[in-house]
Amino acid sequence: MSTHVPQLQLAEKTKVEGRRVSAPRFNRHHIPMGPGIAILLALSIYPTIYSLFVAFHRFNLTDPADRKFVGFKNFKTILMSAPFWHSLRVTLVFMILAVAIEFVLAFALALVFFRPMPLHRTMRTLILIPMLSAPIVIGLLGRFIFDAQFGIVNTLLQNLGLGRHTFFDRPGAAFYTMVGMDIWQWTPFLFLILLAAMQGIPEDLLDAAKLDGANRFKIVRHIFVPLLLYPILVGLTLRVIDAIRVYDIIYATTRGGPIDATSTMSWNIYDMGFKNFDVDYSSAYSWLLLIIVLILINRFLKRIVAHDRNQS
Amino acid sequence: MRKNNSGKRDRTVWLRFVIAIFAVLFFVLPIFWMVLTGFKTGNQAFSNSASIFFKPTLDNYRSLFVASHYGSALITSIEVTSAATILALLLASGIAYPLARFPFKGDHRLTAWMISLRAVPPIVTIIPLFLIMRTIHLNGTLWALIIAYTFMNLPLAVWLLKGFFRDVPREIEEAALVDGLGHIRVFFKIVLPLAAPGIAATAVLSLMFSWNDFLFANILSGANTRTATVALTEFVTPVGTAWTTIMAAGTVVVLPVWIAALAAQKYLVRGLTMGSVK
Amino acid sequence: MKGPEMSHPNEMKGPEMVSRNKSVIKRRGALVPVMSTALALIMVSTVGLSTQAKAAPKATLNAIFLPATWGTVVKDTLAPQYEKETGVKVNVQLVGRDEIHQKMGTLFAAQDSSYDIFNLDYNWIPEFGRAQDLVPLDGVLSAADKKDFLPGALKLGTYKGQILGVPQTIHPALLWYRADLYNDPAVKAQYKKDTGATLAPPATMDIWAQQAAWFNGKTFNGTKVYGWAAQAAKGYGNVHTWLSFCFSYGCQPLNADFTKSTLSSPQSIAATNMWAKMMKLMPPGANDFTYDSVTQAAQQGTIATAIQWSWGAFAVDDPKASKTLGKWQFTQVPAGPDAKSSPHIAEWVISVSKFSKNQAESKKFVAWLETKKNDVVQANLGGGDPVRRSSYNNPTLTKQTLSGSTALRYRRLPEVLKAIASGQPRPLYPAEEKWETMLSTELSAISLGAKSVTEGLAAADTTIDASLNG
Repeated sequence: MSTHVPQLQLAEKTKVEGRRVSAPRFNRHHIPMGPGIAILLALSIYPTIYSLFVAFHRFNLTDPADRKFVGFKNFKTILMSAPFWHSLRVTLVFMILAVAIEFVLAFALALVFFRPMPLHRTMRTLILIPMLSAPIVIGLLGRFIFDAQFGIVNTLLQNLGLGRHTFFDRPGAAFYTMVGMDIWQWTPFLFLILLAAMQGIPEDLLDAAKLDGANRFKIVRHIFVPLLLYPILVGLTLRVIDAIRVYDIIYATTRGGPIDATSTMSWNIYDMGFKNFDVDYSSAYSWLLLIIVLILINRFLKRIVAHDRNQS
Repeated sequence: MRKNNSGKRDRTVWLRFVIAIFAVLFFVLPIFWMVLTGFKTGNQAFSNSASIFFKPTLDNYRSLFVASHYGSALITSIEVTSAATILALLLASGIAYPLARFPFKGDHRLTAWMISLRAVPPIVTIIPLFLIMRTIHLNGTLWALIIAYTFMNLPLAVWLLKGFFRDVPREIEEAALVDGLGHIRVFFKIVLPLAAPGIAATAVLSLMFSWNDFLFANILSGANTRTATVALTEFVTPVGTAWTTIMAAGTVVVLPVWIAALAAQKYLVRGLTMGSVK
Repeated sequence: MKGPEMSHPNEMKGPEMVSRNKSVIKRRGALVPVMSTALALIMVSTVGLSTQAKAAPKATLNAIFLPATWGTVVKDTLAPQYEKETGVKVNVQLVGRDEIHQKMGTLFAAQDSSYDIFNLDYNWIPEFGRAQDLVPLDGVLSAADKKDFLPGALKLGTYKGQILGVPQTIHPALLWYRADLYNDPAVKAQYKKDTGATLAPPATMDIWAQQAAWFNGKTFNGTKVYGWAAQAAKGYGNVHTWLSFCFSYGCQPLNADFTKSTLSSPQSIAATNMWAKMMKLMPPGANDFTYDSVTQAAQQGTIATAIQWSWGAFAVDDPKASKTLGKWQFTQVPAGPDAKSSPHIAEWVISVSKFSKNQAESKKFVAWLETKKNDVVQANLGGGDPVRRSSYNNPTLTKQTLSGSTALRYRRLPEVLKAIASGQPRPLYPAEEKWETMLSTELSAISLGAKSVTEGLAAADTTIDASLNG
């Protein structure tokens, strides 16, 4: 859109212009919002309150007799348990490693695709396939191709003279294999955003810069990065949120192991709640996870909302 | 596609082409391998040779649809995702259009709240949701999943539809209003058709997220309401894994999404990035 | 995404825009009704299809069984036979062990009646017994039946005096050894030369360790052989194997009323030391070894010994998959010093859900599955090891030979009985599954070298104590 740039600059440089001239009240035009808002409230507020309620009690699915109130005990138990802090570390390291590498790869790839070349469209479309595929399928596929005995990866490595390896049975290897699978699946996502955003940069800006004698590196630094800031922001925010919620590929491969190398917070919550049936611990854990996620992305969310406000 | 204005020969084009080819191979080969394996027998699949040429067999697909009745799981997935998508679009339009055209005090707070819903990890929602479904006896029914998926897709749908409705030029709506059409007719006769491609893209995304989901389906589905993704994992057992059948099932699960995404390609970026890039 | 073909409406002005958009509307307007019709058609057809699919015959039971041989036998042979005999259809779904446990927990919590019958691992009986989710099945068995069942078997399906699970198959861990290697004169001679000892089925852990170490890495008849194999994956695998070591060293993992973890006793440390030492003598990828992996290794002949459930013998005597048909023999799990052999006993039972809408029919089916006749039929079909005393003397089983070998098909049965008599079950209390998970994590850390034996056991003690007294 040719109007893209000025709007962005607006969001960057000016504060939100106070209240709008007319601050209308609710009127009959807002009635259609009712059903949707009602459902959203019902399914977000009520479960939230119920979850808090469960977190303050003893609640095991197979022990209907013991449902006593325990106050903050569940939270204390979790916060004092080593596995919690370990899972926090696993989650954060996974997220930072995966998202950082995805971003670098996606940016480089977007630069490669930025200018025309043969089969441009076809190749770009093919690259999108991983991120459209169901994560559980990707997880099982990963387990299959990385198998120690009959996986195609090991066959190829062997043919290349690099020997055979096991990818899931040692803590380090398993963790990095999972990171690798996430990178494989989601780099196309960031690639898509960055490429589209780059292609939205007005031609004249680039021409003017070239006339001024700017080399490629300067162009990237002084034009691309500032103008791409908002899309990058959205892309990274979404990736951070989604990297924290990784679950399907763990379910399909390591189930939190070996030992606890891939026990992320999401995984532990599932394990506690549906393997041990301790939904009390599970709920308390969930609350802690939610708080951590919101702290992490709070500022990004604010930026996104502000940008949206400026659009209208 | 951009043309190089200066007319100079683009010296980097072949280097970039080669890099791009490698990238495509990297992202596509594993999937290609999966599709291929779906046509192999057990012996061929485990033969330790990386052969692309072999005699294909339909045994896995036969075993999938005839012996394992995978078709019923697929149908469940179709039912649940289409119902949830339709519901989400209906409810979201109801929220998005007023948000786009009839601002009110504090509407940005509403938007902010809905965006923050996107950040909530599903595992946090699933436990209370499961307990609540159990209280109202909806566990194991299709409706439990439909409600869950509608809720999952609603914030994104509102966000996207608001953008698409905003894109419809005000002048056209105002012209129609001047002509005497009421707001409701303006919405259905003018705005909806113009925003149709965007609505279609939103539908595709909603279908995709629901179709690809595993966590909610695993916990909320019952004996007769297993979705395709859940049924897929049933081929993995502690006493053996039917790998070639799983690869065939995986192919069946991912194919519809690729096709739908291909059709809605144009608006996919906007949809996936929550409107940050148009 | 921009493409030259999409001219943006905003860039046009005035009447030109309105008329242009009117034609756009005409084009795009068609999209909406088409889309809605398509979606509506999908919905209608799928509703129609699903109603068709769910139209059920008069009496139908839904059952979940483990995809082990006893589950497939029920699904493929016995359920269809039952339908022919009684007209009652039984839909059998085969689901993995962890998934069965998860489903039971969530379905029972939801009071869901979609499944009538469940196949349970016996250690879940206290858990679901406490939750009162299972129907008492005492009436299903006559007094004569109750006497015929192996007493150990019935006990494992009982909770607070009520039978909540009818035994379907009971199997202790046995020491498997390659008779072809152990009886080969050349092998025996070489062993004597290298170690000075006679090669015979080992009675003690130390002797077994020596034998396994000697076999490990050698090639026999063109196949490289490792010392042994057993389940070792994190989850329940490594715990189930470890328990045989623990019991055979005379250790107890928990105190009598399940309030304290006793993993740091000298016997436990000795048992775990031996277990950790032996783990190094398994084939590569051992830390992920599932039951299936052990079976494959045994079939392919890449191991000399194994600690595996007794019923696994069916697989190695399968002419279609096994290269070691008839070559495996079975004996008691070796004993630790100053201790007696005491293998870990496993059992799978059949239970009826309290929320089933067909309790009477379900009970009838369960009773039919475990009649004297069908206990033998199940075993004969390769299902699992029998649960009735009479079956162990039944000539149909005891006199059966294998085609292509002189070995008897059920040569292990006497050892099975001995093992059941001396063996022990897992700790029988409601949160036992959680206990297995906690112990498994630490055992995994020990076998991967991340923690020493004493460290790992102490860590397990701490975690388990915290959860027992939480």
